Amino acid sequence: MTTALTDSYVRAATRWLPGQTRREVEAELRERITDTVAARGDSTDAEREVLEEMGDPLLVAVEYTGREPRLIGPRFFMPWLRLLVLVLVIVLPIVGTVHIISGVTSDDNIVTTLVGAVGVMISAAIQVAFWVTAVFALVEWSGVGESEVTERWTVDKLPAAAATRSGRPYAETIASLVFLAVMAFLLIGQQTNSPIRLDGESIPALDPALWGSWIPIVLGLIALEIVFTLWVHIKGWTWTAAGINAAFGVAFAAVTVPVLKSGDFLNPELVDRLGWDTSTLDQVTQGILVGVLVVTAWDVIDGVLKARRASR
Amino acid sequence: MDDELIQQHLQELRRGTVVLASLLSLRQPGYGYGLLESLSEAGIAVDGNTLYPLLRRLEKQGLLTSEWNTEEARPRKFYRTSDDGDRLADILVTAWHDIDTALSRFTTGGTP
Repeated sequence: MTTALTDSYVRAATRWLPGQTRREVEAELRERITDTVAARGDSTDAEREVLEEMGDPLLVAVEYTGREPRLIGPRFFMPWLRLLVLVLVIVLPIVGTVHIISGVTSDDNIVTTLVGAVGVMISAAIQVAFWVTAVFALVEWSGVGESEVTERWTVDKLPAAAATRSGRPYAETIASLVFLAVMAFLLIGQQTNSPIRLDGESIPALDPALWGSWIPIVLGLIALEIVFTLWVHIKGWTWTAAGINAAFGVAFAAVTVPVLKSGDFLNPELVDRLGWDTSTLDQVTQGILVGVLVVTAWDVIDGVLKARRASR
Repeated sequence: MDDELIQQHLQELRRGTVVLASLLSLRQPGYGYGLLESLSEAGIAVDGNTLYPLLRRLEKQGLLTSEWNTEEARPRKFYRTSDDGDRLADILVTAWHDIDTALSRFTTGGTP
């Protein structure tokens, strides 16, 4: 004895199956349910019990047809992961940089721009993750190449050992380039279109007199450093590279420290508007000085460490 | 040791034996629920959720053949072990005895 309950169970289990398979599975399920219910006393309670033991009709359909309920199986998991990481590493810095550049060149506040950049990068990451996953899931479900024998794994497929590889990882190079580009835009932006606003007036952060000396020199250093980063990416970290990197650091410190010591670093107009007295100004300048020295020293050490690691 | 763990390993150990028992039993044609009962009478406990999809899979692999019997009040799908299924059953039985022999060397603690 079976009722409308069984009918709707069978329909729920088979509705997504293709024609011929649907009819087969439908008939088999009916036989199974009828026999099992009959063996348990042929009551509506027994029918309910049997159906509940069989469980979710969709999973029953999955068992009968042998198609596993998964989005991306072991066949495509590693390619999916690799592609996803690669695309994210390339796309996110670009999206973030473009946002920061357009923010700096427009009238937006720098904090708003940075927060906005993070937001834009998060939504870009979600978009990328969704579309990459969707494409892979589609390929998985279509069953393309399911019967193909997966290519045999050999030791040749191991990634080249770090010591034998000359270049740097892309992520590091891209991060360096983005950092340099952002620094250059900030240097120019703070003068032409300062994010610092007092009483609705845009005030440059650095002394405009630096246009004649320090700023062009540092921009030149940044340009050279971009070339250097690309060169290291191709050639890898050598002792020569570490030496050049150290020379950049020393050159930057050599031009920056005298400017900071002279006290003509921050825009006097800004200092005046903020109402800082001489001692406050001294402390701020000292802070920047220490910061510059620490960052420069770290960069030099970092270059040496990378060269040492690569030379092993 | 927790009970669930025991059940899980028992189930893994039995999984292959249900296939073998079905191939052997269905040398005489039988239908799903009938097979379920004769297996459990023989002491091989198997769940309908396991057996029914299994029969379908074995049929797809050409180890069973099937035929709908519509002579009785309820239509039933009768399965029978194919020639391939027969050969596989013989191979599996041999393998089963080999495993038994191998394991008994460990359980009796001695060498053959």
